[in-house]
Amino acid sequence: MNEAAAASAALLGVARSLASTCIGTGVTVNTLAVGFVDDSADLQLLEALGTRQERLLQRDEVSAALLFLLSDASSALNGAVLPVDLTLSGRL
Amino acid sequence: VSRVVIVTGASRGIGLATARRFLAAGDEVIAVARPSGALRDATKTIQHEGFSWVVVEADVGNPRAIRQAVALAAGLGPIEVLVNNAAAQILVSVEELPVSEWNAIVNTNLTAPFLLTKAVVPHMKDNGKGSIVNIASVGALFGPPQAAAYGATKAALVNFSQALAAELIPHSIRVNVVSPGMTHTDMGRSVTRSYRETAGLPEDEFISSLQGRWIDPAEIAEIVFWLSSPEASGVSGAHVVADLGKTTRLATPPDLEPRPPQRRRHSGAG
Repeated sequence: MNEAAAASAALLGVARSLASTCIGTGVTVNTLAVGFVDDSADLQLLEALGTRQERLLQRDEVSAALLFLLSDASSALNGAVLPVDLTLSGRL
Repeated sequence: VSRVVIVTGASRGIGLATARRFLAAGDEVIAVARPSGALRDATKTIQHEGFSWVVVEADVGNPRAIRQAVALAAGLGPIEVLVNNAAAQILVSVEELPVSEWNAIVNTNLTAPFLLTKAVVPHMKDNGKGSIVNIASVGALFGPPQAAAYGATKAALVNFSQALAAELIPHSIRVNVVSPGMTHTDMGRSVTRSYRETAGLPEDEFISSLQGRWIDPAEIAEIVFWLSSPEASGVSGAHVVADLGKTTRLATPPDLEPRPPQRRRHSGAG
């Protein structure tokens, strides 16, 4: 689990670094930070961690956020992190 | 389906662009703004576009205006969206900032969103859903010199939004906060004017060195609109930094702008 956390943190760093080199180019680099999704792997993980999420996310809620980041509607976002996690990462 | 939406600071800039975005989607907008020529022009603009809104002509820092706005909105139908956008700022050092100005900035930028939230949440709970989007600033992420009060209130608004999001998620009310970078608004331009004069650069060159280009207020409006939509049903407690990547960089004075990589001659064997 520590390895996965470290890898995810590193991914954020890579994305921010790429984003900074892309300023002014019209290319944007953003990161989706996904909470626990309604599938068996995430259910197991959720139980193992003892974390509480308001409810499990549906896959289309994640894909909707992904499509937003890929669309013109998010043209002002670069180097941004968009959590899709029903407040999980923003609370103690 | 038409929703009832309250937008503060709707006469100009991001607030106006946001109101227009909701109107274009067929929503009902209650616009809260101080009486001004800008507000009259904004009303003309949206009428010219074939829309109308309900205006509450008052300072958002006035609790009576808040009660009036919420009562008007509730009369139109269930209040589904609140956008706390109105903000005040003056550029002055902490030493020279009068306590009266500090209090006024805290009142507009922090207390008004708090009071509006308190007034709107019972309606959203009754309706079983709702979305609140607060507008902070990249000034929430670092200490903006000459704008300490503004930065402090925006940082507080981010924290407030996340606390509120955690409180309201069991009620299916989502709360998110957007921090725009330099946006082409009256406020954005006046801040930029003061910073670029220090840097001694023309406006376009300064903005280009800072974040590549200006952010159009309509771009922020798109983000606010998406966050308030059912598409964003999984997103709450998000702090969305909308700054074209500016804060991924350390502060770069223009003369330290990255240049194309130079071929370096390495000493030694090889």
